[in-house]
Amino acid sequence: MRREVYIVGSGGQGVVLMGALLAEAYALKNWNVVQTVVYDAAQRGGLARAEVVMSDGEIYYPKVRKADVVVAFSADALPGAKPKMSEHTVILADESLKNKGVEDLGFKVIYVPFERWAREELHSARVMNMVALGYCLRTLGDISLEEVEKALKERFKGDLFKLNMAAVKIGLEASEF
Amino acid sequence: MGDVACAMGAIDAGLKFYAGYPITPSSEIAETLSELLPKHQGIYLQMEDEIGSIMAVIGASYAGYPAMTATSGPGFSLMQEAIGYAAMAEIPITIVDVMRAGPSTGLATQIGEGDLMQAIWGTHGDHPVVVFSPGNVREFYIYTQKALYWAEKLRVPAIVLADEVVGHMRENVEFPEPITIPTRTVPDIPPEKYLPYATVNGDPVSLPPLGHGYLWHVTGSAHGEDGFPTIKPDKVKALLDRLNTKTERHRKELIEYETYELNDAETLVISFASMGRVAKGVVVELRSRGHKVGLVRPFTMWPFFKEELRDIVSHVKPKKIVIPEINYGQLRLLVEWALKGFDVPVLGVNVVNGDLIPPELIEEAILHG
Amino acid sequence: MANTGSNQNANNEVNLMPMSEAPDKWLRKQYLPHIWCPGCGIGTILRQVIEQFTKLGWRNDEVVFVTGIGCTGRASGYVNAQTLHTIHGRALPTATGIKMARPDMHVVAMLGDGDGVGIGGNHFIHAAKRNIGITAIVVNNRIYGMTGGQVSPTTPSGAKSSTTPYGNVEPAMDVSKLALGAGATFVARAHTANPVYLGQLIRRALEHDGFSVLEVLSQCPTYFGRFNGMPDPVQMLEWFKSNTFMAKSPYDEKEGKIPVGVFRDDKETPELSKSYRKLWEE
Repeated sequence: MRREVYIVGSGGQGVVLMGALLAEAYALKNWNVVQTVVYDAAQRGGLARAEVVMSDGEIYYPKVRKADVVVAFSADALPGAKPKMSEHTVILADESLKNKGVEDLGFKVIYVPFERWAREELHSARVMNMVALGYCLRTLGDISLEEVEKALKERFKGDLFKLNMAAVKIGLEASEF
Repeated sequence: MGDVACAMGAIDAGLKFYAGYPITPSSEIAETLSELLPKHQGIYLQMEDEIGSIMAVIGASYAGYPAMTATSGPGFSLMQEAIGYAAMAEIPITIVDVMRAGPSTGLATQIGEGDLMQAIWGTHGDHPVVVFSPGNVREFYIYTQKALYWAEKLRVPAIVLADEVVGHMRENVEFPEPITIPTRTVPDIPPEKYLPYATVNGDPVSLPPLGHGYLWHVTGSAHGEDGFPTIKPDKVKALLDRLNTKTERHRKELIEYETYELNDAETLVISFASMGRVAKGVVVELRSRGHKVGLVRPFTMWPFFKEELRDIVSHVKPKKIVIPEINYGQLRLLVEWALKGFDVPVLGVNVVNGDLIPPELIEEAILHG
Repeated sequence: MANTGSNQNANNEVNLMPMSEAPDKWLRKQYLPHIWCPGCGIGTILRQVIEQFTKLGWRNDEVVFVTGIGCTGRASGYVNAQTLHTIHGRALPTATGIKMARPDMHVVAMLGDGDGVGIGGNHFIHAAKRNIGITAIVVNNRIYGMTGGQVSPTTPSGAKSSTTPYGNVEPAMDVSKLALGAGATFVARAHTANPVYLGQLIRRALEHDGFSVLEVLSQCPTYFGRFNGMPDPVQMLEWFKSNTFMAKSPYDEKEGKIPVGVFRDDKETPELSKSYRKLWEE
């Protein structure tokens, strides 16, 4: 079984960290995981992409071929990712991307208020990447709340852990809307 | 992350000194070592440029601290003169080149595999060098250690040729038992008889620690066994003959490669670094569909596995060889040289656009090329 | 080297070369004669360097003597110590690696003007900025000697060389000012016409715990002198004597002459190889 997730956003939006935690959650479940990144020279702003491949078998090609899930924080990078999408791909886009031509790509799009939920419920827009991580895990359906909690505990301590975990929980336990 | 594994491998091998200059995609090696080295009684220095970095590495190694630097294409170019100096003066150094697409600034954050020729022949004059190339995070750990080991053992520059994908890749990995760098001891030979460029059983003598009366001279000029400059033709020839056969003497231990499904293979795929991994995936897939295809993935790029490859080809008798690499045919040229006299076509799959070459293109070359 | 055994000669002048064990202890006599031209200033400087090694009582195997390329670069071959003849301009970063690994060693780098502030200029600036414990003796003969007398970064404006046949159109770089600006903690300038004073400054530079720069104006009669109307080394020494003055700063001015003296002696700034090791204790 091979899962492929493609995360796009701007530099500084937590794209790489989200990918790393996604990979770590699967790794703790004894799947093989590979994360690769592509980014611009700009440290803030500019394009950032993370490609995460998880498999219960050996991973040879380490990048995404046809994504199961595309997580989008900004619209700019999406057209470039089109070759990595198929009719099975689900695009999870922040609601701020509505009317920015995402539908024109011709794939299934679900708008999720990652940023708004993070801001309104946790007073921290920065953890929208963790809300997205939760929602992405919910969509893939392989990883439980307890399992992702283990991955987060290895990364974060104290209040930072609590905040990030709360954000993941929001995404993972979101009801249909 | 691959770069972090490289740094951890170096620490576990006994690295005590790193000097470097930040450059994508190698900077995470520097960042990790700046944190780890002080905890292991080691030194991390960020120098003013890559030339300063490699010279500080040479200085520290001379002074008895196992030392390395890491860089990418533009910095690797700047280091070339010093690599020749280290080869001539026989000061052990290790250089990690995390390749990005060139030439020049190229694609600063994206993969290329175009430094192979430069790693082998980059500095002027004929010189010895050992070049390893890892294709995943675990191999980056292992071959950093092997580079440090062989640099010290043979007193040569050792180069680890990684690439952006290996360097920035995160994957789950278990590291093997570390290979540790040989330690220097005070020579058995007293200072007045010690010859720094003599050999023991054909290998260079080990270097003496500072402060024990060994007042030897280091130079990049041609020199005799005593280390002092000479232009006497017989002495110069003896020196250069010895330098240029150093690695050949250990080729059996140095040369490492992986083979996969060679039996009855009609097409042989040869590939290194990240593309070696991708190519293996293609071979696995095609085998599962019944195609007769096999893989050779070299880890030692220099000395080149010429005789070993000739053996493989004469046994397997492939109808075709396919070489995917993110450059315009550098490994292919080495393979064609190694296989001189064999009547087997060698096809390249060469795309330099900042990404891995897609498996479909490799498959196409194997099935229909 | 001939010794008279006395500090005074028949003409009642002070003998600048009193009896010394320095050449026996610190020169590799088997590699003499040296390659330098008759009348060259490097020998005078090197003699004073090994004289001070002797006076300081240093062991040969606690000195690491590093050079780059050029006439001055060849000095390492003659000094009986742990010596490195590196590549052009790179003596200082090499010395930096050595000192960082072995703070207990006395690390001395002898550079030419090309090595020091030409090809190696950036390393010079950064060694000063780091305050790494190296003594940098910059032999400034204001010309590229070994390659045949081409213009150097320190060639005075208007001076002739084999590549400035119409006179140097560029201004000269001032080694001491550069060292001060970059943060070297000991900076001084001397010349070869007064070896006793030169020796005193070499000693202070060697004893300094930090990056010390001693710029030494030195004669190259073969090229600089010959191209600029002073083919006899004595003329060049006379020129140094009459065109320099004792000063506290390289910015001091006096009739267009060159200031010599100690320009900075800062004993407070911590030396890098020692301060780095404080990280080990945390």
